[in-house]
Amino acid sequence: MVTTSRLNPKARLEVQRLWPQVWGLAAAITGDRHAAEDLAQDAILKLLSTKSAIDFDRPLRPLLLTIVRRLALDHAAGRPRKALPLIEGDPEAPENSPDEFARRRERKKLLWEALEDLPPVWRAVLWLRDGLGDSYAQIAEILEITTDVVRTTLHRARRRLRAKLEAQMEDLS
Amino acid sequence: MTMPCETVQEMLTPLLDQELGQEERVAMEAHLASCSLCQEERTHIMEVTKATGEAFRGLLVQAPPYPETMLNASLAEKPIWKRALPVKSLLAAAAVILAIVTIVFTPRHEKPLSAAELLQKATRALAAHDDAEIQVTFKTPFFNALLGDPKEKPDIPRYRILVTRNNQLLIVPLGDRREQDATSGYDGKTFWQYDPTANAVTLTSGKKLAETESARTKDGGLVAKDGSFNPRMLLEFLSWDRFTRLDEDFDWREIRTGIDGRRIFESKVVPTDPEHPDVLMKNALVTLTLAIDPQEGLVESVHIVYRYFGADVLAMEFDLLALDRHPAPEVFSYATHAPKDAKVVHESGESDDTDEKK
Repeated sequence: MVTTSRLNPKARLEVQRLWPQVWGLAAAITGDRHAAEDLAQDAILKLLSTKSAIDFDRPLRPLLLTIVRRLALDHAAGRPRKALPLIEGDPEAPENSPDEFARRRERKKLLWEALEDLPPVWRAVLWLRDGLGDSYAQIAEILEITTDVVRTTLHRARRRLRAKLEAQMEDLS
Repeated sequence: MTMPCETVQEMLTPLLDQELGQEERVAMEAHLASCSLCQEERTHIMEVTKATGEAFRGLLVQAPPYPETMLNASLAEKPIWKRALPVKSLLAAAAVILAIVTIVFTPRHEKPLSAAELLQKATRALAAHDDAEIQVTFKTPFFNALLGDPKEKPDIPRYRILVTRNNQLLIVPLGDRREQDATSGYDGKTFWQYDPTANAVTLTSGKKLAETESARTKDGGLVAKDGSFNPRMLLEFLSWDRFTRLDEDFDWREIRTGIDGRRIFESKVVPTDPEHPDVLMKNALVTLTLAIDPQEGLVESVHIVYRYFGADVLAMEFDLLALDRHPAPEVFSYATHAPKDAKVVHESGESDDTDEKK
């Protein structure tokens, strides 16, 4: 077995660099910040504890993200769906205009509500593409699907988000 | 050959993601140059992509610190107490212990507040402001079905509420309801309701409000026993004091932390029968959920679900939109919200005269 401190320095830094991405993928799938932290740790432990030889000179990213994706989807499938947060990030303090502050909050709230209704796998695809900027080929490798499925999923996810946001904005207008 | 709009719109996603080959890209651009419908669709998809990108990147920077110590402990080959301790390493071990002590006692990250501390912080945070703008959304299909034709598009009533430390109040319906639903307000002395379908304003003076205080109520308090609307109960329900007393009125239990760090509290209450205040309504349950941002300590949303005989009969979500708008006094006056030709009906208890609004 190896520990992270006993990995070659390059691999250790790489695992550390990938931590936010691994955690974020678990968070996007499960919608639970604490569960995501546990799942991301489990994924790293699983990677480092494996009995089969790991070639640490090869990119770790697809392997690690694939492991956390599997763990997170298993976790999400076994539980009732949890609501994603309605507002992303730290809420900004009211700045120049309270109106603008209110509008920003409202837009974020609507976006998270719309994301909440998407299947976890769709959120995973969106996270990898829009959050991390992965190519379709990279996403396909991590999710073990074809690039055509990646393209179709993104198309459907964005259209559904758009339709939901439009309907919600109509309600408000 | 010109591509049909349907094909172009299906390929907008890979086009915007720069996942198309040269030939397809050129064909797409040629179509888009002359098709306003597809241009519009492209704009919409770009906006959605930008919004999700911003939301997710915002999440990325909030990742918790990398748990190297925990991972190393989990992966250690042998428990540390089973390992031989080389004499030569004693000095190094002392240095390691010193380093650990330094790390432990150096607050790298602020210690999270306990549930009770956070609720107190949230109460103080609200009390530090002068007014709040809130949106309430009714979310219960069952409740909607009771109000209208269930075959119709589900009605999701939304209202904007402005409430101040002086208990001035303004409730404005949003969306389709603007045409049919009343706008209400309290300017500190008089409660008013403008009914757009009758084009009439009903005024209830402080004296009349005081009278309804003693009236026994039914149906959750908003309807008085004689069937009339009870504005006093509404004012009580939405009073500033009510918002700044959240930590005292309920027995909160922290249930989870949201993906963005907001901490979620829940309280379950068996309500008493409004007709018999000493009797618990055993078939009813009210569940309240608070979402508090731990950094600012602000209660950002309150979710209330009334469950009766196992069915959610009413669910409401209150979302905090803005603080300290310091609205002008006229914002709370009916004169600002009702047309000049609206009839004004006084329910003052002193006179029941009807006149045209001045």
